[in-house]
Amino acid sequence: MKKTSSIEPKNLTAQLHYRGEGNPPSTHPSTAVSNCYPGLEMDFRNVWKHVFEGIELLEYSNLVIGVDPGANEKIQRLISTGIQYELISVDGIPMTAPVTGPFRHAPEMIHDTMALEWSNALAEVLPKAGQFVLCKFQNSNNLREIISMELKVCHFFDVDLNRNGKVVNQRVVIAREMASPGDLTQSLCSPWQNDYRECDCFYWAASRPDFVNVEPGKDGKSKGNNWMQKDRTGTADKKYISDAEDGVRGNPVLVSYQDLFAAWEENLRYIIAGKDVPLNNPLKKVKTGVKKKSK
Amino acid sequence: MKKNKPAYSRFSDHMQLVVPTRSKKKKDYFAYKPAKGWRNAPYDCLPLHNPPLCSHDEAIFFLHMASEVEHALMIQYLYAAFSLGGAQVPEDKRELVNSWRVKIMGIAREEMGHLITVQNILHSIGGPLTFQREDFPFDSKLYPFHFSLERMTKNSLAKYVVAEMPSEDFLKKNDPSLLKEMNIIKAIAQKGNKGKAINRVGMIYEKIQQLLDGVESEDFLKDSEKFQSPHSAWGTNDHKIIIETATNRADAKAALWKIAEQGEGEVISMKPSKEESHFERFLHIYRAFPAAGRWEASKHVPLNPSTNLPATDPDPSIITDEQALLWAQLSNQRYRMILLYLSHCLQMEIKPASFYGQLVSWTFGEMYNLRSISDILTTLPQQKGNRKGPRAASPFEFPYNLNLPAREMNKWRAHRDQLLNSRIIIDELLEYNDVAHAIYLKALRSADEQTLSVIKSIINQ
Amino acid sequence: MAIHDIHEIRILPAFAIARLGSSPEPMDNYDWEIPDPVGFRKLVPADTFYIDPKTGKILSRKKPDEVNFRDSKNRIKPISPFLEAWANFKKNGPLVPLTQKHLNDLGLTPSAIKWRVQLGNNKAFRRTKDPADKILADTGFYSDFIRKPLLGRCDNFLKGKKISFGFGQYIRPTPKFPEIRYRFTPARGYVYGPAPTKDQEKSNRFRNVLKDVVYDTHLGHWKGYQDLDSDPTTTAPASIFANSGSDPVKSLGYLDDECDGILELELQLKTKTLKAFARIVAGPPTFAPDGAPVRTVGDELEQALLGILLNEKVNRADIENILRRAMETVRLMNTTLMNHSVGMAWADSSQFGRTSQPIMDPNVVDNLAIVSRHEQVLLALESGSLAWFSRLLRHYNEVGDLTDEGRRKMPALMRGADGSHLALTRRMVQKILEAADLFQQHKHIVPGRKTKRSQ
Repeated sequence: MKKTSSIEPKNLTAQLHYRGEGNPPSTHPSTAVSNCYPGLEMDFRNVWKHVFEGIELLEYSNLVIGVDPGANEKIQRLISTGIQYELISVDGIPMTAPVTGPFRHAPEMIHDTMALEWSNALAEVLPKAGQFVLCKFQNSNNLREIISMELKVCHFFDVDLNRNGKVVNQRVVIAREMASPGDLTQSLCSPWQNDYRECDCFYWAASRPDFVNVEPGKDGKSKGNNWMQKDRTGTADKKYISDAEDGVRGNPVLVSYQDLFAAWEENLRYIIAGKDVPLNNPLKKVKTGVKKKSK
Repeated sequence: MKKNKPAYSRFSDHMQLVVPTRSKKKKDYFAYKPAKGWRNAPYDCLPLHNPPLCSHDEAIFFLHMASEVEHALMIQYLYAAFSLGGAQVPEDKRELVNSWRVKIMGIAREEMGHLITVQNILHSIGGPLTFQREDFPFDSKLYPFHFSLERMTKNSLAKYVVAEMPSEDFLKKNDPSLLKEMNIIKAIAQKGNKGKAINRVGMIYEKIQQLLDGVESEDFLKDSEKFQSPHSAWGTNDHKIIIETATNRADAKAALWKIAEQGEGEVISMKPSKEESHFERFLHIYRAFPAAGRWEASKHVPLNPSTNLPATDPDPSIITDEQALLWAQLSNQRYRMILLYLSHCLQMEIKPASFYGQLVSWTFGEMYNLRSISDILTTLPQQKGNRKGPRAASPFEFPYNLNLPAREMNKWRAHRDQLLNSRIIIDELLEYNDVAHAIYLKALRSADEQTLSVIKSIINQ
Repeated sequence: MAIHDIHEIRILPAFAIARLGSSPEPMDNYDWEIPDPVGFRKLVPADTFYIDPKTGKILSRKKPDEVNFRDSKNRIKPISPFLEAWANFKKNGPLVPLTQKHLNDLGLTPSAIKWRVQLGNNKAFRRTKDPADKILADTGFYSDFIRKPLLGRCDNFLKGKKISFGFGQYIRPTPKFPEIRYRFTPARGYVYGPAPTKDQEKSNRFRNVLKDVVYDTHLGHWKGYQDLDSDPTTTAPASIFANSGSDPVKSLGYLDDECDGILELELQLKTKTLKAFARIVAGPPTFAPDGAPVRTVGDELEQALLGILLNEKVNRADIENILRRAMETVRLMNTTLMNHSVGMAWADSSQFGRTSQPIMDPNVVDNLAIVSRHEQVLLALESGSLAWFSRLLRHYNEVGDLTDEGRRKMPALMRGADGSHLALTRRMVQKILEAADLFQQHKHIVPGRKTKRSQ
């Protein structure tokens, strides 16, 4: 592994990708899920709550949930009246998307728009950091009421500004104002083991595997085990047992909440090349080319 | 098929030309008198099986012809598309040429959809499927043109335009100026087809629709649906690909009409905002394509490339460069694999607990491999020792056999054998120190090993 | 050459993730190799620092014989990242690792560097909105080399009780390893909570769960907390806390030792004070460490930093990386089940009222078939083409398209941060589209740097 010996201060890409000497890949943000609902290592949605100076947004929808005490009266109105306001556009860029599809309810019962996740919705807004942008807020109970105001976009990354507010130096660490200690993990499951047992989504499989020891079955269906199954020894007929459809997580064949709270390390197995790594058996020795001294 | 041998057609061997009567009643349309010989028969003659077959069998006969024609067209279009592009295209034309390639590959994909739909209709009337390809019945009044794998030129494009065109009656009524233009294009196309007139592909589908009227209702099988491939399994979300299923006459005819319509677009308006038919797409490309002597849109790839070892007279389309020959053989092998995967999955009952999904996935995989290998071949020389001469290309030579064993488990043995065949060629290629795309070859080999392990575990169960 | 000044200090990596484990041995370093473009990544040992816990010195740097995530007692080794101080010595000068020698040149010793760690676990606060439920650890600025316990304190804890978030250690620089670095070791993955009731004490279900009783139910209301339908600010998803299982869902008051926060550095020079900070997070292990998720915090940060559009030509390594991650995710998913009754198929129906239907054709959604499709895309990439993937990408504003066609776009069967179907970041989509465009024009695509660190 070639050591990085110098990085240009303006080479932010290199700084972003830098992993650090002695650090394995899983220390780097490129191994942390970000399609957070709520996430595993962190709920990255929290990082967008304070992107606009003066207001606090809900991390997963466009609802305004707080304003800075020192903010002006117009901003205060977003909270002070008790009406819920939703941010619907920024400089003409929609913060929502249409919902379409065959529905089983009558049209008047359908929400035909949804709030976009912030990361993609704000992608065109972040470059305007330091500038004022036109934000439109909609009364969530009276869609005809729209409030417009100019809000300043905060700097997402830590920067140095000159007297004119121009960026003279930038770093790749997320600015302090974006998140305080405890903010990034606050909306995760408590304890985290809860998510491992009850999430119906299973698509962070690269970190939290779902379907393991998979091989083709006689009938054409892949067969394998649920990562949550207690018994998946090699001789057992490979079945994927799940209680996800039951709604109640109580199948005794599967690891329980208590198993995870009390002994998650024993009950959760590492999966390499799609297969269980047996306990007490290290991975196959990899020759490093380092010759041991003869005794 | 070697160029030296006389052209042979299984279909023309069984057909005779007949002249229809002028009766307006549909049934009397089948009343005929024999035409005098093939070559001098009038343009509107219709072929029928000789001797006449019962309606059900005649319908199957023509569905087979349709399938094999679609297959042949698809391969020719693919070859033409793969030939487009290259370093000789002027910089300012590259985006345009690329858009043509994308369009024609889209047409080839749609032809694949037609092929699958025809198999579905064969299922619907309880007929056997076919994955053969009919290359040389050019004397037939139904076959579009003489099978020819050639680089795309204005002349070759002319053939494709004419083959997909709507009927002259339609053009007379709706766009007489286009008919005039088409007559000029037809003459060019005929010249490029060794003087033979180009036939409209749509005629086959018109014929089959009429024949289906004669098939008994009880021969349309409701339970055949579980064997018919749905669009959702093949369409990859592309709504332009038509794959229809049918369990009754009306649906079968509607499916055939849709296929014909996608080709010719008799109902599709000529307005650019509407979905373009194959005819329209080819026509637009034809109009913009450079004439001979101006800039070149396609690479110099051979006419009907072949992997057969040269006979006493060196044949200019034989691939003689050692590595190119191996790549061409690999291309043939992967083509065979597509056909066998396709044959297997289209003949099985479709259900989640089956290998249908896996076979569809592997079929797609081989399509991508064929495209990759074709692109690689066009970077290699065709002739040994002549690096500046014409490039090689995928020969799409037909395998010796496309039959799958009767027993299900042995079908997997056949697939296993294809992967082992492929390994032989890949290993041979990897022996060359300077082999092009060594990483791709190794990755392909590795992917094959994974497929092989899945197949072996199926066989061993 | 001696330095005369330090212009600026930064901490790199700027964002480091620690991963819980109860072993006293930290996890060794390893790397990824990709011997087979369509196969699994290989984990290979990499240069590892071995630290003397008492002195904080690096005793050696060497590659272990094997990659082993557990110790001899099967305890999971925590991933404990190092964070390095980087500095430049004039404006716009290159950043280099700050070393003991640099400090010596300025008449300073490593003790001139002060570190401060602030970590928080606000999971209870997020629900109860009671600031007294915040659990915060703060070392204050310090500069010794001992292991510094990171103890989380909370106003609503029982007197004297704390939660350990692990420990931090300023690594003592030596002539052999002169760089200035800090190591964060996360906690052991324990669960904490309030005193059990008498019934709970008798029940098997609650035995041996808590590491310690810390929460004072007389002061705080985390135990018994309930997400109300009338509250629009509950988490999404809601009620994701340990509960008794009955309706209404009420919290048992459990807490864990995950956390996130800030590592700061301060260096007092004669005429100025230099400061820097980085972010640290402690989460669970990656249990399939030979893969990475299809959309990551790394992707988010890259988009936030560099925008949607590419300033330079897309490179193949980037595309391969995205496609590989998609394959690594679907490989471990039960796609058949997720196609119809759980996951997005269920979410569309329950959340949006969509007619309940499978997402993909059930006949082709088997796991091995789907994995095979993804392998083929990677294979095609090796030959210089990009198959169907680019055509089927879901754009960021199409996440609400719940038609058959919309739901089958890529990535399929997965949930995004907005609760609907996942879209990649706009920058990732842009990369793939540009690559597809270049391939179609037979233009050369820059290979990109492939190193052992390729992700």
